[in-house]
Amino acid sequence: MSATETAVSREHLRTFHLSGRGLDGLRPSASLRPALGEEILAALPPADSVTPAHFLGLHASCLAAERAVTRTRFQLALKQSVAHLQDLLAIDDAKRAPAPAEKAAASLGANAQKFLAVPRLIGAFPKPAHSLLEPARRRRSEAALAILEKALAESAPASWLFSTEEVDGPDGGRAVVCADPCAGALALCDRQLTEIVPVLRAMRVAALEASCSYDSSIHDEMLERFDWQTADPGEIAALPAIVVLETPEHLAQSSLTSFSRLLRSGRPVQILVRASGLSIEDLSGSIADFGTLALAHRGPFVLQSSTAAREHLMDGLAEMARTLRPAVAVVNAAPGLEAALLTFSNAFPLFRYDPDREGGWWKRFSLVEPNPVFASLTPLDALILSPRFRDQCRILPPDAPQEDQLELHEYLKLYKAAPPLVIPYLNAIDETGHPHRLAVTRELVHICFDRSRAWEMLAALATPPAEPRPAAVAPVPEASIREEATRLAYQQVLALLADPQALAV
Amino acid sequence: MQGLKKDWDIEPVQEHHELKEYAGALPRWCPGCGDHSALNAVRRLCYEKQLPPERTVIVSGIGCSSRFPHYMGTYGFHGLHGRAFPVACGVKSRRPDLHVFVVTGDGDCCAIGAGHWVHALRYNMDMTVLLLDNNIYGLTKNQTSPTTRLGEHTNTHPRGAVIPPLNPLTVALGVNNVSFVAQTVDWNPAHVYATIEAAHAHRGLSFVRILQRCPHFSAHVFDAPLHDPSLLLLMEHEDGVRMEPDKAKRFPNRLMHDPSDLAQARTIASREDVYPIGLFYRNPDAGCYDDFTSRGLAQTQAEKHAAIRAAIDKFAIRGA
Amino acid sequence: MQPNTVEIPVDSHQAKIVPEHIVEIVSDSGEGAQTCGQIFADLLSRAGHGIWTVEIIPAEIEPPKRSRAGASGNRIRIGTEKITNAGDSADIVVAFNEQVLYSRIDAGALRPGTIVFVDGSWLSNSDERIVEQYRDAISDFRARGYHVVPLPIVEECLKYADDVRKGKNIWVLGLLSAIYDLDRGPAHQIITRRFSRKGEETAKKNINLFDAGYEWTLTHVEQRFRIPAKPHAQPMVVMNGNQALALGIMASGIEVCSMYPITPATSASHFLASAFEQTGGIVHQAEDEIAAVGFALGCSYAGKTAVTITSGPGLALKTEFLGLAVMAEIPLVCVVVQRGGPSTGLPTKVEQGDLMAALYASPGDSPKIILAPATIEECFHFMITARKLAEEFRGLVMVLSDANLATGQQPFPEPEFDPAWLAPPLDLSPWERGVKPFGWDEQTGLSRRPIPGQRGGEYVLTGLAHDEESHVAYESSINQRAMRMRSRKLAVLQSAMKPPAIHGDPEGDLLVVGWGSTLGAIEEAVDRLRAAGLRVSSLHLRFLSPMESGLKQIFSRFKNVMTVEVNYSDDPSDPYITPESRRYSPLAQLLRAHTLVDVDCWSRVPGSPIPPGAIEQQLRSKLQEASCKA
Repeated sequence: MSATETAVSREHLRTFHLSGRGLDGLRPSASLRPALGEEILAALPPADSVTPAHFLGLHASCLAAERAVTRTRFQLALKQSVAHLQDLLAIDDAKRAPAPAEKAAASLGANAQKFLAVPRLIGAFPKPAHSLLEPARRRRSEAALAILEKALAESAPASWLFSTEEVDGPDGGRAVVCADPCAGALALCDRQLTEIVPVLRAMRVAALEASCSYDSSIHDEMLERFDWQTADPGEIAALPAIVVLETPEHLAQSSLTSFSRLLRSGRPVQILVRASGLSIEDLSGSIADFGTLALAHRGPFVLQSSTAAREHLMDGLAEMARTLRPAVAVVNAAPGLEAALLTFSNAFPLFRYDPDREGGWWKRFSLVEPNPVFASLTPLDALILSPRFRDQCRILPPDAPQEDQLELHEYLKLYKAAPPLVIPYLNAIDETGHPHRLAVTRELVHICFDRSRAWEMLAALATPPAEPRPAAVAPVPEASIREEATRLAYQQVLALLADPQALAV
Repeated sequence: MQGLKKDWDIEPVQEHHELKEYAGALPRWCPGCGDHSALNAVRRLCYEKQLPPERTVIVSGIGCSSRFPHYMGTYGFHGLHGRAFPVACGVKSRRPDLHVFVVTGDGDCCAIGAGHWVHALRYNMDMTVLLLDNNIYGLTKNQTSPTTRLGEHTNTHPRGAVIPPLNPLTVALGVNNVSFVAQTVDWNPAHVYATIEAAHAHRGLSFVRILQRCPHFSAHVFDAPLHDPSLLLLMEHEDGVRMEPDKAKRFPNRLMHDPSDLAQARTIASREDVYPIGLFYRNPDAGCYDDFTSRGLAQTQAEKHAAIRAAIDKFAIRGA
Repeated sequence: MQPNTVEIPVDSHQAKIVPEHIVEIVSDSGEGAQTCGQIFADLLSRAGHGIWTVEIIPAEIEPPKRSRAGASGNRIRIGTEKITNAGDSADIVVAFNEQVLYSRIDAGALRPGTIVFVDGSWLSNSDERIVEQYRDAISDFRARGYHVVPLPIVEECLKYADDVRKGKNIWVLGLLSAIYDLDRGPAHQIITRRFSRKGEETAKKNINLFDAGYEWTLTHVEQRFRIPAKPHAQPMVVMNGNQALALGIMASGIEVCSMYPITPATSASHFLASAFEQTGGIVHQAEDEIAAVGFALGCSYAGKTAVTITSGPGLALKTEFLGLAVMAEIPLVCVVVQRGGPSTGLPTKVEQGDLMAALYASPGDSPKIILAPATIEECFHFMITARKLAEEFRGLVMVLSDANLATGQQPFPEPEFDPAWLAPPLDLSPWERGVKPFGWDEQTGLSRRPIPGQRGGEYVLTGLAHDEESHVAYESSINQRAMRMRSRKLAVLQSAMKPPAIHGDPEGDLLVVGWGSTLGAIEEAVDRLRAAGLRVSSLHLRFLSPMESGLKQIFSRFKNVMTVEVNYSDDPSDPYITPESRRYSPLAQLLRAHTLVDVDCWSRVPGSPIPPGAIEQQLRSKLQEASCKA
């Protein structure tokens, strides 16, 4: 940076800070990164331990691991139901029409007739029982069998992936590209749930019939009322998983309604929102906090995580795969260092909300407190990595007036009701490794302030309410109060008697 | 949302089973025999849980306690001396729908059937096992059993039993893959019931030893804990045998014991100064052999036919 | 000794045509003579030959090398027609060393004139003692009249393989294929299939070894034979008796085989363990023989008739439970693959000594059905019959096989599976009101049983004396009646039996009665005698309990009746043995009691199948003795 520029005055600085105008010659070049202390650098996770592409696969494998066993078990149960009903009907058939002589003879094996007079022998065998299936039972069993056999013959993909653009779906899954993935997923999910109900109903008929305990007076009505919400969770988990892949930008622009509808539907759909940094629409505008938005629906499972927080992401996705509620994972998949800095500066905090956990709100909601080492990080440490914000920064020449400058994180601490009357700056390093102070606009400071407000809100949510304090004074039994009062009165009387002057008054 | 409506139950009690449905013949055990207490508890359990009598099978060996199935109104298998376990495993093998109980005595289980007992614990098939332990052979009239105490006079050891007794608890707890070991005493019906209830709820083999007297041949063997309740050590835990607090309070000697702690379970089971009662050990994750034996049950007839044809065809010789 | 590198001009037209031949291949354990024999047998049966194979098994897993006791291999009897037994002495023996050959000589497997191909490479061994042993043995063999042909097996194999212990057998397979003029194509196919699991290279190496052996033989070996083959008229399968039992179990609809390891029954369970899962069954390996039968019984009680499979010592342990199956009328199939006894006896060898144990080893009267397959094919079909009879007669069916059937291989028509063979699905419909759990039919003693799960059928099965309700009953009348009902069932089965077929004329001087695996050898001996004009017939029993019908009448048409068994009986000429003290073989005892006919016996316990020649000789002397008496 040449020092030939006009000297930078406090006024220049203030104007730039407030309006973003001026000091154009000090605009930073393409490569700029935050100056981070040794301690911070050491505590940061290795870059790219989870690549953005990686995490789709991660979710798919969590889901597959969770659901594969369930699916197999369900298929087995389905087969078992079919086998039960087939057996039931076969037994009944045999009773209705006893096997013809040659078939009965065959039951003794292919060469028994060499040694035995088979027809004579069969004539001596005890007769089987004659309790036949009543016509209603038979009809019911046949109808259930037909449904189950059809279901058994069908082959569904292991999962569905809805997205706005082509992505590599998981093995055995099917990918669908559409303009509104949330709406598409909801429609498919509804169809799946509608179609599975008769199958589940038939399985219940099979179980009841197999144990000879179907009673029309109870079960007809029960089956009538039966729907997917009353099904066994394992049965719903055995359906092909439905996954939506979204971006905050697309959601905000065109799918917000269907996103919210999906979250409110209660359907077991998994939504992955892949954020590539903070989604800032314009500098003065709001930031789309889809994690918080989903949280506000209260019903869904919500995960907000980052590719920079490998453990948290993996644990969270695994837990998400387990839920049958609508589930949202908002994952910060910004490139390289940016993801980590956004996360550890609390601009994109890590949290998980699992409505199925028992206990209070703070048990369901868990927010990750970052390592105190990162206390001096600000969202801007991340944002300056992006060329998008270069225009909002100026490199301060060494001779710029320094008396009312304050480092940004200190500045933010003071920034409560009104901005303090100093100019915040950020330490940064240019491409040559040269350290600089960076003046930043008020807009960027606003973003930082907004992020800390957002964090405070989440932190408040995560704090358990204070225990009800024990009463300061133990209640004293009435009897002893009276006793005490009597004693006091007695003492007073004694005191008065001992002090005639007092009596004189 | 899924799971919001919980009103469907696959086994709605279509016909209510009365307590008397679980009763079979009139018990012919001696008055004062501890077997009555176990019988009452099992009948009550079947009734409380509404186990279909036709899907409940009581398997026993030979001995006084093994008469048990005759006094139940369910299916029963009163088989051979010492051999209840293999039979029960066989019953369960292809019939996961059956509730299987094994009732055995100290001679039946710990002497002639000891080999099967150890292996049944290993197989860990889903069944409830009641060892009715009165420290004596009763049916054959007063012979030393494996649990008879050193020095007790019996018809086979008139000058006193010559070797220390076997501890069925430590034996059971020493078997790899054991999944449920508990002990109770016949003179506390509430605890007997609570123990059997916990045993039945457990998936896997639940082994319950019930200490009891034979009114004829070992009438005084448990007099000490009977008269001095402080000799009983009640093991308590939220995962253990749950007793109502007021009933638990009657035990002066109580111990908080986590039934997932095998090492401590073994230590407590080895104690000779007290009679520990409650749940020593429970491992719901121990592998169940039923998972293996029930393989192939879902096969349809058509699949089976095709598979048999294919198996035969593997031996076909085709000319060159 | 002739130098074995000189080429002999051999012309395939010199091949001698023979109706049948017996070949043995023996080696140290682990050198693959059994594999060689199996593939050779496979090739022959594909080509349309009749075959019967016998495994030659050492008693130990790894016996010392070059020892007499260590012989391992196969005997293959090959014929144009169906072959029913292992035959007499071998025509050709291939020995990987001269010492293992001695065990075969001791077993009487060779005769003067047997062609002995022996590996001559031992002559150049660095160990002088081995060279000496070899020289001594060869001259001994020649003195015994064998036609000894040394082969340079190791030398030739080294050209194609580094480890000749793993290659000699395939070279020898080439040798045998050339000697018997078999096509190379099928051999290549089998070798490829068998070895491709171990990699393509291994398969290729073995093909090379096979071709080398084949080609070397064409130019060096003058002994060449052709046994005309008859293509099979129907699809055939080839397997050993234990595999047949196992397949029969699968085809019978039995879902559980409960066992404890015991030789020679175990191999059936091995096969089942690998294949049963496909047909929806399981093999339960129990903690002991008692538990194995108990588990099976429990399974049967719960509605799925199970099988337990064992050999003699295991049968002894199972006895109490088998009695319970009879007493409580639980269907159960118990297969006994017999071996030499008593006690641990001869674990790997053949004997028919468990007949009495199967019939009588139970406290009290325990009527049961006993079946004995006589061929490998019957091992398969009898399992289906056994399961069905166990269920219909509500009790124990025992199937007695033996070590000879267990390990022997023989082609038979491919069974055409019929779904009617399977057990019907479990009927858990409510139990018919008023029907008792032991509602014995007054006439037949047969009854239906409630299965757990059948509402209203709740009963307590007991091994104690019980009445129709299954209530324990000590009253004498009830006990008498229950015993009568259980026994009656056998009479019902017997009433539906056909009189056994007679091999030969229905009357004559001598009737030979046998059971089990001796069928082929007995009939062959009878055929030879009949060809010589002697009036001999034979009869082979498949049902030992109840005994087949019409025996007394059949016996009455013969001047003499005798049994031939692989069993012990006193020799009448032995010291102290008098007609009064003589102990007869088991079948003879049974038949004498059953028919009151003076049934004689000739039985031996050599640990190996009795060859037809030995039977022929005995029958001849029996006839002579009888005619002298007359």
